[in-house]
Parts: sequence; structure tokens; C-alpha cells
Amino acid sequence: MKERLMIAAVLLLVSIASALSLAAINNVSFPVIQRNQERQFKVALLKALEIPFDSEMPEKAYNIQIEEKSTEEGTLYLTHEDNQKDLPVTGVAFMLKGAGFWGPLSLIVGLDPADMSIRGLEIFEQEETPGLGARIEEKAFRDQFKGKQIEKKIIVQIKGAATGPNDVSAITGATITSKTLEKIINETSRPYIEAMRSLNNG
Amino acid sequence: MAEATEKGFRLLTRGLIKDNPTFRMVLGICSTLAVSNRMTNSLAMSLGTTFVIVSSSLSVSLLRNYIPKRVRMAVYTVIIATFVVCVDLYLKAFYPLISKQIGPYVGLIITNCIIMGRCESFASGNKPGPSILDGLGVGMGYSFSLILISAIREPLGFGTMMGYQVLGSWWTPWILMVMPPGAFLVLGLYIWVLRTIYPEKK
Amino acid sequence: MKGLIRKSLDLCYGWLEKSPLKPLKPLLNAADGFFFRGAEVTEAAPHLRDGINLKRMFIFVVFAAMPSALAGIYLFGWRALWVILISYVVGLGLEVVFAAVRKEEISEGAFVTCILFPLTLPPNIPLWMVGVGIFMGILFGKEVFGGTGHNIFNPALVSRIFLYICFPAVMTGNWIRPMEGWGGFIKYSGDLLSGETLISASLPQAGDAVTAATPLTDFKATGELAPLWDLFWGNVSGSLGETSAILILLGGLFLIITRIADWRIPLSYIGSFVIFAFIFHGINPEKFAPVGFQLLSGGLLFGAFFMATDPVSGPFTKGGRWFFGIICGLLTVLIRGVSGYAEGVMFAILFMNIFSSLIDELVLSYRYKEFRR
Repeated sequence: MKERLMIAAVLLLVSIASALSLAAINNVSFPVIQRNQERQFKVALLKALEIPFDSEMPEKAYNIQIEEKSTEEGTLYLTHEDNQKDLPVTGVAFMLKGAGFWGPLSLIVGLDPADMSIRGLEIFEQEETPGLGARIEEKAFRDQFKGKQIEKKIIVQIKGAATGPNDVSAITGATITSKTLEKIINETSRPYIEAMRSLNNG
Repeated sequence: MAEATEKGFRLLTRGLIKDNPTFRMVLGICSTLAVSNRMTNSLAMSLGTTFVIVSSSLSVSLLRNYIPKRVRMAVYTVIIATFVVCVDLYLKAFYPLISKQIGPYVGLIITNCIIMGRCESFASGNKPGPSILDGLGVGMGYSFSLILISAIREPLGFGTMMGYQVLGSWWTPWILMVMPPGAFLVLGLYIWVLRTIYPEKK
Repeated sequence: MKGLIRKSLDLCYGWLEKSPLKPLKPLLNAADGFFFRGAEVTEAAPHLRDGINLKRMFIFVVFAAMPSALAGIYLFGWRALWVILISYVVGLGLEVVFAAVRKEEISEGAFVTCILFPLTLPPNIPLWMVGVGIFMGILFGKEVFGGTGHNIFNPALVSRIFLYICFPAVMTGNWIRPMEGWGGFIKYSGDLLSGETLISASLPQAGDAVTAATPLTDFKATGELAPLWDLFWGNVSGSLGETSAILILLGGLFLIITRIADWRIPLSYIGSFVIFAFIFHGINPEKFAPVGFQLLSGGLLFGAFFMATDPVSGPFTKGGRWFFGIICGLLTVLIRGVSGYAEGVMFAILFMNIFSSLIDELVLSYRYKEFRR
């Protein structure tokens, strides 16, 4: 009987000690971690909309220039002329998600609402093969999307050079990741475009 | 005194080659394969794991007379898990980039057999001083093997070392070395070499 | 002439016994074997399994692969010869080192590996890559297991898969069109010349143009089908020795008639491939190409005749061989159709290599149920 009590007591004490110390550490680190995660998203968003920002304090530019607008289809991130909310929208961004080769793949697309062309494309989250599929993060690849029409089908060419007006050259050897990206952009951006339209009309 | 120093020194160094946890005992392979493709990841992982080994060895050694035999594994696990979560939160808060790359594997330090092995076979029967030395020695051995493996994998796989370009632009990266199978090959070669130089005593 | 060679070889043997260069004896043995087909029969394992004199076997396989190698030169230029030579120099070099360290004879398997491997490579592969590939393949595919006869995987395919995973851009992206007329016999290399430009092309720069995709990649990307006639003669882009179906058949039949390769594996492999390809094409013609096209394109024939028939890494029981071939065929069809890869022969054979001994074990225990209580 005494032995059992001892076991229970030790387990309880160790667990309490562990829980208390973890709670304390979590208390301190949680705000920092949350800020880190949000910052990563905000930076990607600002980059996709080509808005200059202070890399030490991206939150500042974000708070002034970006308006978050939740719609039925998802959240749109808007920028306005002169940062005035009643002036016309000059940029729209949204996040697209899909399944990559090894894990989730998500990206942020920034658009110019005037002609529905892509302003910038940022990869937010990816677990593709380093040195191969992961090269979709490289600027040279992403910059190809600039100026492409989001409403038409964007084609990532894995064969031959990108010749069509809405064509983009794939990363050599990373056929699957390149094609997945194409699929995500073309198939999941529709609802956001609809949301943008109703925004303009309304 | 001299004898004690010598003993301590032996505890500290035997983990490096003779009882190297990775090369000789082939323990903790999961994290070894996963994170050793970049030197910075290896260093972060080494420091984290060594910290966990030393602190859990110390804790177990301090508590060794109070832990009931029947629940010792449960107690060890709680202790180890506490320290692992500490490391994970610390990395997330202050090194978000490294944390993003090796994230899931930090949590998996809990399951690293090296740590449980040291707690069970050494710390539970020894005073805190030797337990720290033993933990430090084994931690150094683990770190040593991670560093050796990434010293081959990072240059071959990325052409870089600690993120700096060491091989010129003529170098074609070996994608295989970036992926876990590459670590199998390198690890196998090291084990081969070590077993040839220091054959196992029958 | 023959007597002279014999005499000088014997002289060398006597001299070597006393000299400090004794570890090089395997090299001399190999030379002996080459000229006189070996007075003694190898004692290593594969011949126990197969009952064929190894020295005769290796030279026959090299003969059988000759037409395909010549086709490689004809279609893609004299550079193909360099690719083969480098494979031999590096592969045999490594073999000599290991034979010397282990004090064994040089195994003849290396001669086969070193000719089959380059034939599966893209014609414009950088030459250093050939060396790296054969080195890693022989080291990790064969020597770490204990040398010829102990290996689990076909070393030529290990070499290729190593390159395939390490350098996917080169191994899947840059193909060249075969040459016309007298083509390769009067030219050094194809249009997309020299590995040197390739090295830079494989480095980070988005959007390299693909010069000429292989028929299988073409189908995967666009659904286009190459004409069967071109596939049959080999007038398509592809690996050095894998494009011409007729020449592979020629070499393969030679192997079967001389009984170097067992007819069961190619027959069951190709047979099951044809059947499954037919079924799946019927179900989903968009993903699975027509049978005739699939049969003649890619590395199927080459794999079935030269790679799957390897006596060391494949099963040795008759039933096991049937089973091995049938599953290989099914896997190839599935990988080609459903996975992200355009070609699946290499993966299928390597995958089934893992199970060879298990298959044999099952066949034997089934056959000898009564004796195995």
C-alpha cells in the first residue's frame, strides 16, 4: 500500500513540476512565437503585393497598407490608393493551398485588380525536395509569373521553351512540383476571383 | 584525485569514437538521417540533443533514489519530454528559420534512444557529477557524428558549408545527398571505416 | 602468337609471385581469362546457381549488347564511345582495387555491368557523371555486399538510379534527337553538344529548354504518340542503347539461344506487361498509352532482356522467375501510368530484386513441402 502511494506521489510530483515549468516557459515564448509566425505571413503578403517595408518591423507597413476582408470564399487582402479605405483598390492578394510532392504547398498571389494580372507570387509553405522542387522558391522562377493573366489558364511548360503569353518554364527535373503549382494556381484561385468581382460590384 | 580526473575524462571521451552512439551503437538514427543535410541544422540538433541528454541525466541522477523502479520509464519520459519541449519552444522563438527546417525532428528527440539509454543505464545508478560527464560525452559523440555526416552531405548536396558557397558554380549538386537516403550511404561508409580501424572485440 | 601470349603470361605469373606487386595478381588473372577464357572455372556464387561458366557468360553478354552500343554511336555520335570507355575504366578500376584488397579474383560481372550501364544513359550526359555513377553503383550496389554473387541489386541499375536521383535535370530533361543518314559514325556528338554546356544548364536557372523529350515523356506531357516504325528502328530520342527495339531483340535472342539468359524472365515480363498495358489502356487511355507504343518505347525491352535476367540479383527457381517477370510487368505499367515518372522499368526491376530471395524461398518450400517438415 505504502509503495503504491509512493509511486503515485512521485509521478504526480514529477508531472506537476514538468507542467509548471513548461507553462512558465510557454508564457514567455508564446507571444514571440506567434509574432514570428504572423510576421512570416505578413512579409510574404507584402512581397507578393510589391509593397516596400522595413524588414525589422514589417508589421508597421502591413497595418497601414493592408486591409483584411473576409468573404464567403476566404480572406482577401486589399491595398488602397493612398492607403485610404474609401479610395479604389490597387492590389489584392490571397493565399492558395494544395498538396505538394512531399507535403502541403501554399502560396500567396498578389494581383493588380485593374487588368487581373499577377503582381507577385510568394511561396509561403513548402516541403518539396531541396535543390529540386524547393527551387520554386527562387526568385527567377517566381518572377516569371509576373504579368500573367490569372483569369486565363497559366501553363507551366515542362516541355520546350515557354512561348505562349501565359506560359512559364518549369524547373528542370522537377516536373511534378512544377505541375502541382500550375494546378493549384489554376484550380483554387477561381473563388477568390469571384469574390473580387462581387467586391468591385458591391 | 588524479584517478578521479582520469575517470571523468574517460567518461567524457569514450562517446566520441569508442562508444559513439551513432557509429558504434547505431542509435538515434532517425534524427541523424533527417537533419544532417546541412551543417547549421546538425549543429542546432546537436546542441539541442546534448542539452536534453545532460539535463535529463542530471535530473534522473538527482532523483534516482526517489524514483520507484516500477514507473521509472514513465518518469524518465516525462523528464525528457519536458526538456525537449523547452528546446523546441526556444528554437521556435529565437531561431524560427532553423526551427522551420528541423521542426518535427526536435519533437522527436523524445524518442531518441540515446537519451533513454543514458538515463536507464548510467544516470539511474550514478552520482550527478559522473552522470553529467557521461551525458556530455555521449552528447558530444552524437554531435560529432552529425557534424561528420553533414560535412560530407552539405558540400555534395548543396555545394555549401554552413550556408557559404564552398564549391564553385561548376559544381552540380547531388540531390541524393540532400535526401535521407544520402545519409544512409554516408553513415554506412563511416561505420565501415570505423569498424575497420577499431574492430569489435569478440 | 597464342603461344607467345601464353608464355609471357606464365612469365608474369612467376615474376609476380616473388615481387611486392603480388596484390595485382587478379589483374593478370583477368587478362588470362580474357585471352584464354580461363583454364579454371570461377568458384564464386552465381555460377553455382546457374550452372554456366562465368567467363563465357560475361563475354557473351557483352557481345549481345554490342548491336545496341553500335546503335548508340550511330544515332548519337562517337561521344557514346567515350561514355562506354569511362564506364569501363572507372568500373574495372574499382573492381581491381577491391579484388586486390580482398585477395580475390576480379569478377567478370563487372565487365557486364560496365557495358549495360552506359547504354541506359542519356547520350549527352557529362562524362564525369558516368564515372561517378558507375563508381557509386559498383561500390554500393555490389562491393558493400561482398562482391559479385552476393549483391541484392543489379549494380548497373543501382548506378543508374543513383544518377537519376542525384541529377534529375540531366537524367530526365536534356535529350537529343538522333542523327540522320550516316549520322553518328562521322560526327562526335549531337546538336546539344558536350557535357560542359550541360553542367551549367543543370545549375539553378529557371526555364531551361528541353531539346527533345523522349517518347514516354512526350506522352506524359502532351499525350502525343511517336510513330511505331521510328520506335522499332530506334529513330527517336532516348538513352544510348535503348532506342532501337530491333537491335535489343537481336541481342536478347542471342542471349536466350546461347542460354546465357533464361527465357522465362523476358517472356513473363514482356507478356505480363503487354496484358496489363492492354487492360489499363482500355480503362484509362489518357494515362496509359497504347500497348504497341509502350512496348517499343523506353527501357522496357532492354530491361527485360539485359537487366531483369541478371542471374545474381534475380530469382533462380523456374517458378520464381515467372513470378518475378509478371510482377515486374505489372509494376512497370503502373509506374508509367500513375506515378509522376515517365519510365518505370528501372524501379520495377530494382524493387523486385529485393524480393528475389524471398520468392525463391517460397517456391522451394512449396515444391519441397514434404521434405521440409
